[in-house]
Amino acid sequence: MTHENATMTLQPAVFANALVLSVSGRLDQMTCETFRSALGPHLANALAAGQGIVLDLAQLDYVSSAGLRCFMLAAKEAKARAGKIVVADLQPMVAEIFQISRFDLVLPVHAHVIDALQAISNEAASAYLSRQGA
Amino acid sequence: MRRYRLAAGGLLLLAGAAMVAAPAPVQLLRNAVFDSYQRLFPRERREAPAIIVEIDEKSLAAMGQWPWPRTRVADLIDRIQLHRPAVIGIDLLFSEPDRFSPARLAEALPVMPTEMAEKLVALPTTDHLLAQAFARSNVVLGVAGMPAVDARFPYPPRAAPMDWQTQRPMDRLLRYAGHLQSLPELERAARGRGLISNDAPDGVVRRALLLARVGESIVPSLGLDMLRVASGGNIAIVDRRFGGFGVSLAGLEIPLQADGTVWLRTARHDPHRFVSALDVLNGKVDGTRIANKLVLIGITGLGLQDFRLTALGENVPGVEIHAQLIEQLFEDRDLSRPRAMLWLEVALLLAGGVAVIAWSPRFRVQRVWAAASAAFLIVVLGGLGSFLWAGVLVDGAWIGLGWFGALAIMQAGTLAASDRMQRELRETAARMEGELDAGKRIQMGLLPNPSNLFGGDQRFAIAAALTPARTVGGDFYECFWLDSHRVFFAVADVSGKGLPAALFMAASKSHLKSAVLLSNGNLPAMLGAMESELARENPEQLFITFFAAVLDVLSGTLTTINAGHDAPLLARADGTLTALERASGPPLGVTEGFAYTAETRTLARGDKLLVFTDGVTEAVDARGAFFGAERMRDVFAKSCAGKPYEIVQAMDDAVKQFSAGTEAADDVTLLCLEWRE
Repeated sequence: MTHENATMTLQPAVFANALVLSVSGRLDQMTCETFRSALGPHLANALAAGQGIVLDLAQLDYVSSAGLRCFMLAAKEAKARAGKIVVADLQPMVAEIFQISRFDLVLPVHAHVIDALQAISNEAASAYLSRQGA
Repeated sequence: MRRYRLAAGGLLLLAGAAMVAAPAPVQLLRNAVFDSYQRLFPRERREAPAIIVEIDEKSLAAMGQWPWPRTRVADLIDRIQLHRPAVIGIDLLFSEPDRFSPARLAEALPVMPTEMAEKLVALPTTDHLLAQAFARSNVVLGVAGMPAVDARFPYPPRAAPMDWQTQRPMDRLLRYAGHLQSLPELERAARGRGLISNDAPDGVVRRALLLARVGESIVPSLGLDMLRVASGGNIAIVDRRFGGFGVSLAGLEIPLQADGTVWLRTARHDPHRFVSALDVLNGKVDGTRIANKLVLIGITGLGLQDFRLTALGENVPGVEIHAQLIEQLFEDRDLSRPRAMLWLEVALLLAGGVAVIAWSPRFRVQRVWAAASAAFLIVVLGGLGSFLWAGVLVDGAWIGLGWFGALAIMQAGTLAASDRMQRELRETAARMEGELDAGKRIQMGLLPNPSNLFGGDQRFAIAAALTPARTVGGDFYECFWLDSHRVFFAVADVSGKGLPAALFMAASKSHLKSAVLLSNGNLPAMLGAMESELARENPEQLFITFFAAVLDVLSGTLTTINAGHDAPLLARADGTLTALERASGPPLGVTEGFAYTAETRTLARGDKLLVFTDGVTEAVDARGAFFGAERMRDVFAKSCAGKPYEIVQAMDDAVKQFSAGTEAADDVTLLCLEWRE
């Protein structure tokens, strides 16, 4: 079952005190374990470093209830360690799933990554903008 | 696999050790291989350097039984000598004085007058006459090796002096303690003497003696000494490659086996090698058949001579073996088996065997066998070629046995491994199936049947259907009377799959009922109670999306609550189709202490509520597209004029039709309520 890896990837990028993780592919029963093990170290490091975490879901095509459980676990861990984790740039279908299941109440949802970074800190937002500009 | 590798390696070592030690069974197969070479390509008799004067049945019939008087033998020698042979070798022994000597006759006949007897005694012995015949020609006499010293011949035979060109001792030569030879008078008249013994342990003469130790002296064979006398040269012992010895004579160099034998390049029995002694005595023989030839005299008459089996499977007179050896030496057709050949064979065995062990598991069975067979064919053909053109014997049989044995073991290992793998796969599949079945049984066994519960009620109707996915999810629905006029119903979906989800669903469902009854239908209180119950026993951190409602069947008042579940659809009697408010909070188990809120509305007669799980909207067709909310609304709109069970049926059919040819990824649950009062 090697295709699990092929349909789920995670790309990290750091902007000041924020860690942006770009999630792409599908997040379902088949890929959730891959996602969890990929997310785990980033989450632990970022929380230890006091960074805010933004999950950029622009490339995430689908999330099932198993995928939602991954988000839930991440949110619980962040909450337990007084960290902050938000999601940004959801595709319509994923946004709908967040609304139906009310996960928008579990994880703050932002329209764009820049909004999410702004919510974490001005430094993170300006670091992001200067990187985009360059 | 490791065990099989070890076993195959062990077999190879065993085969190698067997080849070196060569116990009888190994020797048997090896001989069979060498015999097959000989039988495929027997030596052609091209030259006729040797001729056998045979004392055959015909001679015995005409001249009387053996032993003949020595005068007759002397006559035979003289008759042969008439045709100028190169040498005469005698494959016979004259160990006792002749009983036909005149003095012996006088003793044997006591009635003989004294002066007659005295005259006879004064006559020369027949042995003397034979010795004189020997002296007139080049005669080589036979010597028979014996296991013990014979009292008549206590001293070793007088062998031709040899030219020792090797410094090494020939300590593995065949050794005879004693011997038999002819009378000293005859010996003195002979020009040479050679061994006539050709022992064959298993009765098949594959090798002929060339040198052997008799007592302390080294004696050539009859054939070799005849060649020496004929050529006028000296026998030299020389070193050969790979630690072997050779015999050099008259420009020939013959490779010796360590025991002093030489491998025979066997030719077929040929009557042309023979001429009858009677014909020689009667002068009826073609003189050119004898002139300049090496003449052997031997007995072939029935009952008197020893027959020997050759590698070709022929029974030939023993004297013919001597003739064959002479032919082979003349034709310079060496055949040998250097000790180095054995080590080469063992090396081949081990190299091929290691290749088999290392590589056979990586390739397909047919290829491995084809490769091994091709390699073995090369060995067999190489062995045959080596026999034909190099005169070196190679035994490929044990190499092949070792290879194929190792291959068979490895193959057994591969089979066992794949067998085990398949069994494990089957067992895993069976276990999964069992787990899935268990999950499904738990799931289905807990579901109520609405028509049993409310079937007779005219004020409302509830229909429900749950189609479990192959990998069990954790959908369930519930419905029961809360009191005399209120009905509770709910639809839920546990996240995750398999047995954990099914068990969590079962636990949820039991908590649900008690929570509903304890809170007396107060839905937010019910959710709070459930949440705290579930939080206590949720090791997998699963969550449940949950829609619950209480219907007052008298008033049509419908109170609903939603935790992260899809908003149900409401088809009004007036034809409008709307979705209820979306969930007031996330699924149960995601957060703690969330304040869910309930909604209340009053239904009109004929209003229908359709509650569903995401297995409906997220059903996937063969191309990967979702069933979707739009399609669901359409199907509901078309079917909402019917009764609840018809609506459920229509929706279920639509989903099944849509996802035909794919495996349902999630449970599909539908519950439809109609209020009629």
